[in-house]
Amino acid sequence: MLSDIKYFFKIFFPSLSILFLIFLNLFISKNFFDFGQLFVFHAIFFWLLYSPQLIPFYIILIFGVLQDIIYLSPIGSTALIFFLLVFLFEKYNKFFLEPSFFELFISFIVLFTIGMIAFWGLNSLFNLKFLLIDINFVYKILLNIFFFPINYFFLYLFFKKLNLNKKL
Amino acid sequence: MQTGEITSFFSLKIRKKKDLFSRYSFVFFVILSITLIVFDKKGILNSSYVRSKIVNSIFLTKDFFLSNLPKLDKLRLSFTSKKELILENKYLREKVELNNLFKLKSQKLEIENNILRKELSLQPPSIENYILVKVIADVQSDYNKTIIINAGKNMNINKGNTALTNKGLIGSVIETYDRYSRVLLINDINSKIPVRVGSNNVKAIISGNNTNKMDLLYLKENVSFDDGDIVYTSGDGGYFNSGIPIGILKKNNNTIHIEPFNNMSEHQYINVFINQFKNF
Repeated sequence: MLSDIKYFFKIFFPSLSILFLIFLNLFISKNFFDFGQLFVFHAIFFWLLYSPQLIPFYIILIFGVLQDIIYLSPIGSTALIFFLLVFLFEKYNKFFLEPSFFELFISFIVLFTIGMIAFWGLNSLFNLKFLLIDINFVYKILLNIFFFPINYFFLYLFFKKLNLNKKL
Repeated sequence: MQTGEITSFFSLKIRKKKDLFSRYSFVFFVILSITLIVFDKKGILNSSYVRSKIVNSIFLTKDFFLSNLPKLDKLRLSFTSKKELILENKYLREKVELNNLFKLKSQKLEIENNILRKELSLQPPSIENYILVKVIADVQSDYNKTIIINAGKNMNINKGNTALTNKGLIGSVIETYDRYSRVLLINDINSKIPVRVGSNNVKAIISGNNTNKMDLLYLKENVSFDDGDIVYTSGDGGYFNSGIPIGILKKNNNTIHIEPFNNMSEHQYINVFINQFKNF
């Protein structure tokens, strides 16, 4: 029984970490730092890298839709941006066989910036006009870049503790 | 799908080269996302029902967890020193005195207002009914400016009710759930409010643009404004009551914009006007 619970916890840990980041941004960090809707990409990026089998597409879709519901975006828009980033991630993944942390960090910065711009483009399309980009846009990118190594460190810690690199 | 074998924190070793996903499932999920967007935008999807259920579940869960946490603030209170209590008592006495003064002033103004209403032969509106609500989640993003408050259908809040503070208008209720509601802020890009500007009562529409500087639209030609003109709701269209202050007009070279009186990102408590008289 306990081993079953442990097994399911391991299986769902990546999803739980994404859910945790959604609620962290919504209820806690928003009072100090607003990371924006793409904050959960920190976790998606990490799990795509280390344990892609634990983060299937329907999970990305569900969490994208959940974010859209919370933030009143058109349902499916955040998931679409995540899928674009997953696609780009897959393309990038083919170029590097053994990336160092620095390379991963640079890739994250590039992907996250593309995601932010794509999200702006999509929202401009919905409103049929170019939305204003202010200093907050750059601030959010910088904030996410700054906090990515911290999230990466904690996720990596759990990843090792739970032995998620072993076949489940 | 394959997992790479990781040997150290800073480097990945022997990542097996294999596609992360099957192309077909990826394409399927992309098409599904696009379909959801189209359905939501066209209103085919009954998203407000889904939103209602999910938002209620999220915030009820949050409330449940918060109510079961140990009451740290009460613990802190028990350690408050006598000196602090005396100071607090003094402060509260001063505040009560001040509030009594304001109460007297407001009673005087109310009497004066009633006399003036009679003079103008205006019928008073139906009973005004404000509810003080708490902002439980600031769900503003770069592209949507909404907040969630802790009162919904249970408190007779309806779609279209006005949300305001003592400084002025904040927005209007756009979705009501069982115990929560969502308020669209006036600086949201979808917010368009008929207003009157300055002492000349020039009619216009203010439109949000997701920033703290709102645009003034549909102005008549050869209309001039002064820097610092106050902008009020005009009540046209019957959506908002007339005379609710919104913001102040600012001139910058040849451009004008409206700065709202309320700071849109720092609301804690707001009033919702639940019995507003429409088409007045």
